[in-house]
Amino acid sequence: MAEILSLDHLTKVYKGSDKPALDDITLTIGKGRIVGLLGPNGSGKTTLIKLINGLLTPTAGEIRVGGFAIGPESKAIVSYLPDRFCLPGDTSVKELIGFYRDFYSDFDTERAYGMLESLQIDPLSRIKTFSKGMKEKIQLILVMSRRAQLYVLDEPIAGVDPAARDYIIRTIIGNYQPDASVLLSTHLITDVENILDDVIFIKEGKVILSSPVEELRIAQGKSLDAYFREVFSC
Amino acid sequence: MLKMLMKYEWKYIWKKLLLFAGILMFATLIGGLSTTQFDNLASPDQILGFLGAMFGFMFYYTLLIGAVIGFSLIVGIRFYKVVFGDMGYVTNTLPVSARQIYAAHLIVYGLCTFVISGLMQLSIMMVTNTMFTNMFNELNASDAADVSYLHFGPASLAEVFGLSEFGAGILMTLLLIVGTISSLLMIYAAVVLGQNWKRHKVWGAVVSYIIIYSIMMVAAWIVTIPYMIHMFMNAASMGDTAMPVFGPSFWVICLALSAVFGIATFCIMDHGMTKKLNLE
Repeated sequence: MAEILSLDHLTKVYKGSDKPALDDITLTIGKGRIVGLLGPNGSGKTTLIKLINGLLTPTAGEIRVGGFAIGPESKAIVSYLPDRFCLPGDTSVKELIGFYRDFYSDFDTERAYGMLESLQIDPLSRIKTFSKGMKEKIQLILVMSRRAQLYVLDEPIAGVDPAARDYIIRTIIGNYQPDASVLLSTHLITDVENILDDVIFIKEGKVILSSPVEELRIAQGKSLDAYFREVFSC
Repeated sequence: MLKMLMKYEWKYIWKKLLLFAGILMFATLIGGLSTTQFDNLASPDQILGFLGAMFGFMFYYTLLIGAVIGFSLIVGIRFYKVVFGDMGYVTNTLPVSARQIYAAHLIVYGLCTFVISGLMQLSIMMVTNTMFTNMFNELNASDAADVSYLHFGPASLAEVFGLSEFGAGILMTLLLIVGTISSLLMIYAAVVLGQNWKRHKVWGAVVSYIIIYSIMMVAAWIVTIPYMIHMFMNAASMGDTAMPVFGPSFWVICLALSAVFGIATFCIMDHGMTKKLNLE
């Protein structure tokens, strides 16, 4: 299986902290897989995702995306959805589409407008005029309109109502390239359990499990959600 | 991609640049109108007019300083927001290098700051020349000739720099370019240093800027004090109407000092953005 992402002895220690946020992580993600990055709050999920996207500098270890070290080449093939809304409020949706098209050669403008139309979003409206939920959907539309090789989605369904959650999952499944991979972090396992190919459990900065979901279900004789609750019970 | 980054920075700043240029033009108008009252300096019954002129003149300088500080603030805040704020999540995941990101800022805002600085210097020249013309228009030809050096122009600049008009023009342009880039780099380095603060990163940037600026001022004083003493002693020995001249070596040292601070702050910014980026 060809790899899209490989982490080699990756460690991250934040300044002023003596405990590593990520501790010597080594793992790979194959092409064409949907991978769930699961763990409780503070386990290191967001730190790992930020490192993959070059938003943090590793303390030690190496990250390769599509064979590239983190840099412009790796960023050109990764489509990243942050855990927060970070688009400028005073720009219109149309301007944002232009911005993404300018910087990403894999951006599919027609797909973006199609998704906007399905939500009846006026492309000329300014971002600040939308509700929080709608802003998050627009951010997701921009991320999923890219024909990227790796989609890295940090808590895409956190803090939204069940209907919006369904829309987000449909958008992810309906728009990612079949040969692309998706790395998705979440707490809401029941919502994504059926779409995951592989799962990574992360606890206190260490990967404690990395396995295909189906194999795990058979081996444990229970759902992923039930197993997660068992592993991370307080 | 650098061009694309520059395009978006230009798109952000061009209206603000026009606004600040407008403020400087308005300030020049106020300053110019105020200085027309200075020919009534000797007339006791024109005291209200004189006071009005003084207030107008103070307002003029406040607008000038405000425009420069305001523009620097906009540049610093924009850099902070785009690189280290929430928008940093978009900027730092674009398929561009960190060097392209700061190069785009340096080029676009460097040009804008260059324009603002140029307009400000032009404004000061215009207002000062108007003021001296009005103050001394009552003087006889001989007295007026004695104070003619107070008028700014290529000849007086050449005298200030102690060079030919061409040499003074080159040196002044170099000072303006290096000074503009250094002042931007100081702001960007301060923003980068502010990220080392656990909390209150904006205050961290402000404090870092004050520290960098203070170090630069102290270094400038230490380096230039011998020249200042020498200049004032020379001026004193030459009489009241002598033009204070530092000499070319003083200005070259100022240029070198500005370049040294530019290089030091560039290294801080480059290291922070390429090796230590941490959007926590």
